[in-house]
Amino acid sequence: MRIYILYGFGILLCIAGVGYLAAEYIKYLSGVGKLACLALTTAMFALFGKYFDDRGW
Amino acid sequence: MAKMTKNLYLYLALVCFVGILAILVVDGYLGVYDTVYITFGEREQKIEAYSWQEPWVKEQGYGIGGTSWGESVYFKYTIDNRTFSTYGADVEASVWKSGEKIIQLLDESISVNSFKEVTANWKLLAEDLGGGAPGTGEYREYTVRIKFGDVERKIILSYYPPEKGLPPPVPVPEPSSR
Repeated sequence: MRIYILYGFGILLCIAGVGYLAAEYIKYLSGVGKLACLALTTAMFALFGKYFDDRGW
Repeated sequence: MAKMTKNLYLYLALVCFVGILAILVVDGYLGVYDTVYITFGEREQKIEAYSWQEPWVKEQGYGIGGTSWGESVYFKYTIDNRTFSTYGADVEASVWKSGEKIIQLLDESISVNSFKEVTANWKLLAEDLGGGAPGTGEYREYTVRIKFGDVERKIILSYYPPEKGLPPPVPVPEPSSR
């Protein structure tokens, strides 16, 4: 159980870090950079979905 | 190996996450960025580096509004070098009207060390533009061009007639005593 709390904490920190970077620097991204970020975000959520689906969630 | 295959989607998702981080750092943070600060009428306007990417700004220039003729306009141009090498370029600032150059405000070579900032300052006086003050109801637009290496920034500045003070009070005649 304790390890899952740690995982959750780590995930929250990652999301907060990326959220900060995105809020601060997304306006400086080029058009290609924004598109690549969008594609990677979509792929990331799809892959997470598939992973949790395989685990029976 | 079986565990690796089982977690394949998780690892791929983490690769995407790292890719997003890499894009934000490489494309969003690293690079050479220029910011213009313009002060007139007790107000400072800041034109951030990302503002120049807007299509209408690229096409028509960045409009900063107007000031009254006779008021000085102060420019501060900051170059932020967020790369791992020294960046050197010529910086030129000039004022144009109807495609004709009126005055050169700045022309100097600037070298910026890695992850450092350099600032250039200059001042625009309305008198240097010539032509006299605009008449009542008239306003004039000028283009301030800032050339920095290969890029060129266009700022549209307007002048309107100088503010005249209130007319002197008309003396009221004292009532004559009869």
